[in-house]
Amino acid sequence: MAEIRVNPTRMELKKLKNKLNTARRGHKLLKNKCDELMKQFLDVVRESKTLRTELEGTLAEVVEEFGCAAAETDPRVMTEALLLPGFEGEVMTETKNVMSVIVPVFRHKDSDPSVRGGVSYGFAFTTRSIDAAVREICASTEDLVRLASLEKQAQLLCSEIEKTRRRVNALEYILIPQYAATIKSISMKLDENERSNLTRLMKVKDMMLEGRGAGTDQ
Amino acid sequence: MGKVAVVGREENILCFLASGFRIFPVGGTDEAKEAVRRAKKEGCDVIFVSPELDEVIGWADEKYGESVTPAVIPLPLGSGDKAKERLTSFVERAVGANILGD
Repeated sequence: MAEIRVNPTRMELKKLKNKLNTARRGHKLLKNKCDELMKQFLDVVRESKTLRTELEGTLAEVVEEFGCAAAETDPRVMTEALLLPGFEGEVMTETKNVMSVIVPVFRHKDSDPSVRGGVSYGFAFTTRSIDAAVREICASTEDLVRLASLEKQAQLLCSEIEKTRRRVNALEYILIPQYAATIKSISMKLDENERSNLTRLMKVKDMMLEGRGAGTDQ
Repeated sequence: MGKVAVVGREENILCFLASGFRIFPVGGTDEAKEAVRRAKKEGCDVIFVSPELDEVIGWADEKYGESVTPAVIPLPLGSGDKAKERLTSFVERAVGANILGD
């Protein structure tokens, strides 16, 4: 692993050791975050897949019934019947914090079943199949909003997992080995300096002793 | 309070008027993109797009993928293969492989 080019001093060594500790702590935290995000993400994806399959079945029937109704009824009458729905299709958008990822939670405004009017038109000019289709679609509105919530959560969690995994890998395979290699090389250089200093001192001492010995001999 | 919009062919999405959703009937991809932009401008937090307009869903994922709203979601109509592929692609991006196995 390539080392970072720094001066081999004790000051740099201390700084790098601190950085290595921080990097190791960050790596552990990010890895835990990634694991927890993954768990939540897979739950969301599984739930959303099941809900989507259910809704596909329901809405296919609704569209079919609506097709029949459209064939039997005058298009103007049909549009007029649907112009004023039984309830407002509005959602309350709240946000939820999942491991510091802000995800939306959409709640359907008319969640109280007694509020649901469903059929809000006169029966004089419409057919029976449109009533059934309208009831079906009103019943699936809440599930549709929940599906939107789950899929958006899956999308946001997915991009956050991707980012976190990159960070974990960068720390694990690049930054931490780089710091470790640089610390090792600085320690080796400092040890080498220490040894050379010690040898020099020993040599000086020997020379001094030799000089003193020579002086006493004379 | 946000609204819910549905973008797609008129014959497929007309029924969503009964749920109180705003509908945006479109003929093609460009019209659909414009409808999504308009829906966002009009305060729609959830925008369902008919699954045959998969190009629009890809475009919206790039444009609004990182923001909390609007949620541009393929409508659960038809076979739903494209929508499931989208979910599978999320799994592949997050995990590295499709571990859900379908």
